Amino acid sequence: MDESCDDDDEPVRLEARGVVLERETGCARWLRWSVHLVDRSADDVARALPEKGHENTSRLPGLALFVLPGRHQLLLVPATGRIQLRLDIGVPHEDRAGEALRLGRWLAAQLGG
Amino acid sequence: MSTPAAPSLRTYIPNYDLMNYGGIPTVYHCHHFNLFLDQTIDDALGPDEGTKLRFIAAREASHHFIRALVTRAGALTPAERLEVAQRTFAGMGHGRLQVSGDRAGGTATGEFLHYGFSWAEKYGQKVRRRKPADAFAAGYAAAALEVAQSLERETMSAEETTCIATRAPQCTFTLKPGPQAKAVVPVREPDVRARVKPTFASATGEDTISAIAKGLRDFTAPVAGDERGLVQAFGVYVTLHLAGYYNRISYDALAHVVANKPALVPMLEDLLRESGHVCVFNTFGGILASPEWEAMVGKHSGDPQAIILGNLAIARALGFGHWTLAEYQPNERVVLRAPATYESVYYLTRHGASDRPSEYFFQGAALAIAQLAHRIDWRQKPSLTQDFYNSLFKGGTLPWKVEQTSCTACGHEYSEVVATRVG
Repeated sequence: MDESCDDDDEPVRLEARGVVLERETGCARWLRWSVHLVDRSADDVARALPEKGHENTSRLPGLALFVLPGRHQLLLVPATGRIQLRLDIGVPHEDRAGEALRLGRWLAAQLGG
Repeated sequence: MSTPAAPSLRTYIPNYDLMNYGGIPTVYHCHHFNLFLDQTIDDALGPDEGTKLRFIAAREASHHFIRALVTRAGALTPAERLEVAQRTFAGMGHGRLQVSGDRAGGTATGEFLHYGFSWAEKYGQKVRRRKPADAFAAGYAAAALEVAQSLERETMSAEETTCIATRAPQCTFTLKPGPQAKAVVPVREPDVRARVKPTFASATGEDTISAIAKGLRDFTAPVAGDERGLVQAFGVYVTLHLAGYYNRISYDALAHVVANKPALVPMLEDLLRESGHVCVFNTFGGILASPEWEAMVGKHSGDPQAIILGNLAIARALGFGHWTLAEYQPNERVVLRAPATYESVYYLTRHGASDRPSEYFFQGAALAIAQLAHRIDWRQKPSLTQDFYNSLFKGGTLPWKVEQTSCTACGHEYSEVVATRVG
């Protein structure tokens, strides 16, 4: 049997109003997504979400972590600009891309997109 | 009575980086390793004997574990004791297990059980499984009922009758009394402490390794299972697991093969080493690639030695032992050394001195660490895919080989594995 995280290695890219999501291969299928913002930075997100009432729950300096409804997580490393979306493992396989896209749209809305 | 939260009883033996929970040896491993090792046991023994060994090992390790927990918690009634066992199981990332019954037996049900759930997640869409996957949960449930009912250890049997890995809607178990298992020497924290050799620092990068290991431990200390009994850290789903389980299934399976199918011994030894590849590629690799690592340690520099030191820190934080870098020649030779590993202390306690080096996981992990350091450019954010794994670890002669040159289970002063470039 396969021993790595993913057996589906093709790149997957989703776009939602200035938010670009690229699937990462991770511990389980279709759960991790790299987030790229067309004209915003990780810093912008880290500032915008608390203003919208979302709590940064990170215990690590240098990392911002927002737990979204449905147990999904949005992680930001402002110093490097990295943003990662982690879907909860309870999302059925067939719904994961759609859920990622929905959260991308949600993020765009939070940023005023 | 108090029920312990998952991380509160976690301790490390100072300067040995061997983890205990409630005084019982434990380590962190992710589902890739767990599924691979269980499959290895079934491949070596056949599915029926493999399942039987995995159940026996789980029950034995879990009995000592649960007894230690309920004693610490002051849990006296059967209901209190089952509550402690079940909450701890969930807190460790094994899912939710509900056990009920009396001295005549009982039943158990499971949701999000680690093995079944993760097997379905990883393989369920491409492989039809015929046999249940949760022998560990079965052993744990049997041990929980034994302790709850103040029964002699290893007198309750359990069978998983339905499993989500076989596409059943739920995992269910039946428990009933059975013959008491043959007594084996327990392996607890005091036994481990009595068998470790003098410790030492890394010849290279000790300050770096120690600082990262401490950061990882601090970060994971409060991490516990969610309401489903799932633990996610660094984007990897992990379990806090009983080292005795891993060790017993590995060494008992090997002893069985030595006695009955000696021609297959090298194959099983290779698979036990490969469990180290699987762990390092998926868990260590997942941690290295995570945003948490980037925030805690910084962006990858491209220096292979930095990856090696980071991996040694991860190993220490996961409770594998005080892994050190004894020697390093870039792209040529990586020598890891430890005063003890979770494998060697178990082997010495349970079996006495070994006549040959037997820390297979340590061997495989060392090879994988050398490969991760020299064959992956972490600055490029690599995808940890099946194809990538295959390109690194399968398909002909690898560019690195590993040899264990010293083993504390053999009575040597330290355990040492040497990864050498061959191509």
